[in-house]
Order: sequence, then C-alpha cells, then structure tokens
Amino acid sequence: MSCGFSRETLALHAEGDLPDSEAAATACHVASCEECRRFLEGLRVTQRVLKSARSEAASRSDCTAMRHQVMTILNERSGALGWGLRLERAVALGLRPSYGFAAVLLLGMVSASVLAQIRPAAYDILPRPEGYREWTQLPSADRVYMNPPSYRKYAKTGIFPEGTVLVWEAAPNSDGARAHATSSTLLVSFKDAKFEGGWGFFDFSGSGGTPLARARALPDSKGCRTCHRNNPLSMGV
Amino acid sequence: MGNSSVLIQTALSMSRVSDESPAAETADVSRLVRLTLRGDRTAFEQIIVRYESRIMTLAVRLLGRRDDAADVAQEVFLRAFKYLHRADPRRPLEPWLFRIAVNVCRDVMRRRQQRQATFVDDEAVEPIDQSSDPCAGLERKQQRLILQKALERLPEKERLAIVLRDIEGLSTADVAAILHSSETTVRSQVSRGRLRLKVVIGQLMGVDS
Repeated sequence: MSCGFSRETLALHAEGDLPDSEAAATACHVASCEECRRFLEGLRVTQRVLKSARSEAASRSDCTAMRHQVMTILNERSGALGWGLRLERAVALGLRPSYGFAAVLLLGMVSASVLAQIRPAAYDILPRPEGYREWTQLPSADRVYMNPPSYRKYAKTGIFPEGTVLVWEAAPNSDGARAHATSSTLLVSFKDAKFEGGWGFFDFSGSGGTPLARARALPDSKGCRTCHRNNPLSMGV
Repeated sequence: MGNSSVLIQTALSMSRVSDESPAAETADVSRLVRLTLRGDRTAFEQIIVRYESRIMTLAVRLLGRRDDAADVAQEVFLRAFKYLHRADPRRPLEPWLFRIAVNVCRDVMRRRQQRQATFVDDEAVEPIDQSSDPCAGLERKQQRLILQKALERLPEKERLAIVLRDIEGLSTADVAAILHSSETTVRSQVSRGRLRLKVVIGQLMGVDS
C-alpha cells in the first residue's frame, strides 16, 4: 500500500460513521485515489457479509423453550426477592419521595442501632490466639509475643498499629507474675479503637494451668487500664 | 390461564418486528413493566415474548453457540425480572436488556477463556438458524460460518462493538451506552474491527484482502 491515507478513517467512512467535515475530505481523497477506492470497495464487501446476518434470527422453538424455562423458574421462586430489592421496588412504584426518604432513614437508624449492639458483643469475646509462640518474641523477662504483621509496622514507626495482639506468658516469680498475682498467667492485649484507651485486655488463664479457649474482655473494675496507664514499663499498652 | 394465553397470543402477534411507532411501543412496554412490578407475571411473559428473539440472536452472534445463547437469554430475563424497577420507563427497554445481555455474554466469554486455558475446547461453532431451502441455504450457511469464525477471531471489545454496530445496526451512541464506553472509543473499536474482519474474511473466503 503506497498511499498513506488512514485505513481506520476509511473503515469508518465505509458506513458513514465520520463527522461531516471529515467525511467530505475523505470522499474527496477517495475520488482521486484509485488504491483507496479499491480498499473501500473491499471493505464494503465485508460489510455486506456482516449485514447479511441481520436477517437471521434465533429459532422460535429455542425462544419458546427458553421462555418457558424462565417462567417456570420465576414461578418456583415466587417471593424470593430480598428486602433491599423490595424496598427499592416500593420506592420505584411510586411511594412519595418523602415517605421513601423516611423509610430509608428509619431503616438506617434501626440498622445502626442493631449494629451498635451486635458489634461490641462480637469483639468482647476473643478466641485464644493460635500458634502465638511462633510469633515475634519481644525482649522481656517474661515471654511476650506479638503478631508479626503488627510487629513489622511497629518496628518502622514505634507505634502499635490497630489490630496489634500481644500475648504475655508470665515467667515464674518474675516481676510481671508478681504484679498479676499469679504464676500461670496467659494475658492478651488487643489494640482496637473500640476499647476505651484503645486497648482491650483478656485473661486466658484457666484453672489448673490449662488456658481457656475463649476469654471475655476484662471490665474496667479489674484495674488493668489504670495500672497500664500509670506504669511506664507497659510502653503505652 | 385462558386469559394469559390470549395475552400471549396478542403479544406474539406483535413480537419480532413491531409495527408500532417507537413512542407507542415504549409506552406499551412501560405499561407492561408497571404491571410486572405490581406482581403480574403474565405481563413479564409478554415482555419476554417481545424481546426473546433479539436477545437470543444477539447472544448467538456474540457467543456462536445456540445452547450457550439459550442459557444467556434465560439469565438475562431472570436478571431483568429482578431489577426491572431500575429500568427507565421513559426510555426503550431494549438497550437496557442488551446491556444485561452483553454483561452476561462477557461472563460466559471469560469462563470460556479460562476453560480453554485448561482444556482443549473442540466444540464447533453452530449457525444461528436453518433455511427451508437447502440449495439457497448452502451458500448462506457457508457465509454465516465464515462470519462466525471471523467474529470469533476478533478481540472481545472489537467483537462486541462490531456485532452491536454493524450487525444489530445500533447507533454509535447506543453502542457506547450499552458498553459503558465513549463514542470515540466505540468508533475506534469499530474501525479496528472492520479492518481486522476484512483481512480475516478475505483469508477465509480465499480472496486477497
């Protein structure tokens, strides 16, 4: 092809897809260029093949079978729309906008209230961390382990990130064990903005040295928060 | 059910290529949509009757297989029933259904690509429909197969643009709306697709392109 005229432009010109000004210029060029004229004719042949497919349609029997299948499914699923879609539909069907707004507002308030009640309950109980002895061990007289992703951030910033879990195993007769008045202690600190002061405290120490599988967040009356706040050795935990 | 069969017969008589003016058709479909949203399933069946052929045909053109096309059309109408309240009653329903069909077809194409990456896919391309005249149909059938093979060789975006613009005959603006794209992008895809098809069809027909 020696002519450098844009083939893409010719492809659009073949079906009148160019803006008027460009179409006029293209027509002018094609009139004077034998090569482009032949190329355009070739394109029009292909376009005719494409358009020949317009007259074809899917068979009626296929359509009917498909329709029956759809209606059967819909009849079997009668009333299976979720609440969200039902509400959307109710609004679309002509509920007054103010009613719709009130309904959405009410739904939002109820959801927020329910979530506020559910969320703390879900966070208040923590399962015992699995495999914590494989975590990063911090230098301490006691054995203190920290979940590795949080440790990596802490090592860079010096700040405990949200989600930090510190597991503390008391060494016998250590200062920590004496401070917590026990010799079989397994305590966990969990950093989450939900807790007052940003930390929740959990005691997994079970009777007879067997740790508990789950523990509830210790209440403020246990004094954990106050003691940690006033003790510089707790490093802000 | 007697009433419903009368309604369906009426709808059948109006289906495929409607003689109604676009405004009258939109108004009528809008009425059917309202009835469906109020729980009238017969009205929805009439909507299916109106558009089933167009949707099935589009799916065959995009996917090349009748069985896949039937599954696609079924999914399109089930989704349409579920989200019918989101369709704009002031506008024709067909582009909205086309948009769903294109999305469903894209999912099928992606699954097919994944399957082809794992297994050898030796399913043959099927023609859309049959001709009652075997002699006259032979050339058409060959042409159809060539076209289908050529379309299958196009990249997905170009194939979608070409089928919607050149075979379905939609305007560039409608194609852009269906593909969630701009008119400039569609023009570019159509242009590249036409050039590629010219070469591929030329090769398949044994003609120098």
